[in-house]
Amino acid sequence: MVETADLVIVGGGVMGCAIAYNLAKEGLKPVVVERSEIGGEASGANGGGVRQSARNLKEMPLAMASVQLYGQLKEELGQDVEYVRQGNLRLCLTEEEVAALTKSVENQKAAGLELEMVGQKQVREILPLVSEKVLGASWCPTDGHANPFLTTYGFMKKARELGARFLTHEEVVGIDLKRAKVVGVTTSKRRFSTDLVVNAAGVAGRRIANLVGLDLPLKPVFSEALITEPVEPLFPQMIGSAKGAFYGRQTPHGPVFWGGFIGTEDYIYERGQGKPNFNCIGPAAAKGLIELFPALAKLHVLRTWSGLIAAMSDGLPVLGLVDEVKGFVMATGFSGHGFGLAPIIGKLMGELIMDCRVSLSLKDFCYGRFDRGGQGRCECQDNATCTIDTAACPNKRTWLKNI
Amino acid sequence: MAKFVFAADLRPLLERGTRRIELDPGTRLSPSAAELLRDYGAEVVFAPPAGTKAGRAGEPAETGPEPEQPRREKPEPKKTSPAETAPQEGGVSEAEVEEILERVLRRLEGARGGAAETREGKTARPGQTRPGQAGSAEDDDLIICRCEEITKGQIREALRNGISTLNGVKRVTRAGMGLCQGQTCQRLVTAILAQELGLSPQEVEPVTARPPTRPVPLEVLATGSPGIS
Repeated sequence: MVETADLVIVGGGVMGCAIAYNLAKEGLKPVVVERSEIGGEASGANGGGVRQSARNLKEMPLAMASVQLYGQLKEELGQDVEYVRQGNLRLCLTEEEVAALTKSVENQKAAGLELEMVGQKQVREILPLVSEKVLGASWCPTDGHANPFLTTYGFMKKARELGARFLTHEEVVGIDLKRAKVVGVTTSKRRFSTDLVVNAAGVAGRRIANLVGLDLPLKPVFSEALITEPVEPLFPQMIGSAKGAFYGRQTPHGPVFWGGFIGTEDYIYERGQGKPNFNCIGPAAAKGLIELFPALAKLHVLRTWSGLIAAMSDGLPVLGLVDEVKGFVMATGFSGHGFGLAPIIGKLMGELIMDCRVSLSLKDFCYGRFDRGGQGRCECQDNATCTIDTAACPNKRTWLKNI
Repeated sequence: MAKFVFAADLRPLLERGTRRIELDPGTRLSPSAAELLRDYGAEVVFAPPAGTKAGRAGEPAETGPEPEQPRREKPEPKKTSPAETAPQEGGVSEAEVEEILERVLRRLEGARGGAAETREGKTARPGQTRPGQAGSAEDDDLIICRCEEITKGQIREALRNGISTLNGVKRVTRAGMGLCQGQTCQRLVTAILAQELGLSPQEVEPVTARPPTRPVPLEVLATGSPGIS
């Protein structure tokens, strides 16, 4: 039997749930199809950073808007997401790192971010626990962190209340097209007739794009993390290292989270093939943590785990409609920045699908940027294709009025 | 054996506006209970032996029932030593304290008995894990995860809100995230999940195991031995 759906969202991570929530709020009944469990992949393994500093400048407006939305999430979703806005320190261990970061801080300030470079003394004033080896840091007081599990859960819970449907342990195996237009979705268990599909599949985003004949320069990158036993409050800030090798926070329950890269990711995990060397995760992350926080060396580690980042060749997500296939919307390839951006992406995708108008430009993230070997410049205005070819516009608000 | 008081025992009292909790000397507070008390700005008094208590009962002056303080109003954060708090300045009457104590102790007894019963549920009360059986709300305040103090009710709530796996329950409720890493509660959580979702426990996918099996100090994990050079 073929069921009918207003739209199908592929992927039940924080993105899929946030998009579902924003559409359910407007009166649509989205169906979210998730091959494992809600928040089972990157949304259930990430560090929970809600950060603007050190973002790609193109992403900065989204990151800044997202931080504002995080402040309202608890009220909006009726779920405490443990959001803490106590700043982010990006720590430098060498003079070269200080010089490079100082330059990048200037660029970010020019983009409108409240950010400054602080010296060795000031870092230790903000964060007394930090090693004397730290020579300086960038300090962004409006950054912070939240609980990724509860954020995903909150979006899902609220979306469900508003009428969204969540199908877990069910995989999208086909997207039916007719004259380059989406007409249906086939899952491992059933078929849907629908005119709109959102690709929010994270690391599986490339496979989903392949289903409609598109491809993405996206590969899974392996990232690792550990968490310690709970201890008294030590530091409320989000911590990063200048090279981006490590990041951490202390959760409100007390455990210290520490994540990062062990250096061999490129060689051990290519398109889901091969097995990571799990023996390296703990030692590599533990060394990184002790180097920056020697005082924590005696803390006990409770868990180590790993996750996959949907890394794009240019480190930026793909968002919006695509020229090639009508009714296919991209929201994937967040390259490790997805959690912090989730609320704003949910909102913008909601706007795009309902009204074909977005309050922040998605131009830099459109699929068209990969035309002509990645050198292409997308000619769409503000948001993908929609304004070029109005027939591609889902305009679900008008559609809702007419049913 | 030291008696423990848990957050779940105190929450109803604090929510009713009680800001002064009297406990038997030697009673220990769980970390979450202590946190909860801090959040509410409530004070804990370790009651002197029964004899002195009776003597104080003759001063009814400031024991007005339920003075209805604003909920989040915090008193000055001074630490209360037993000597300081001996005169009654809080808003709880003697009788109420007795009642609270009695209920806390009864709940403690109940929780212990209940957990044991559930553990033997398979043989002693087979009905408990029968698939699809509607769960009663009576045991919702039973603590399932002892490390993180997660109740059966919290786990049920997550399952009713669309969580359908052990990993999901762990992420959302923290059951199994504590020091023992779920070695104690995993079977119980599995049974609850099976019951709520109408599965047989064998059908429930086990939680993803995360190394290390037991807590290991960071320095040992980093270098293989304690002590950083």
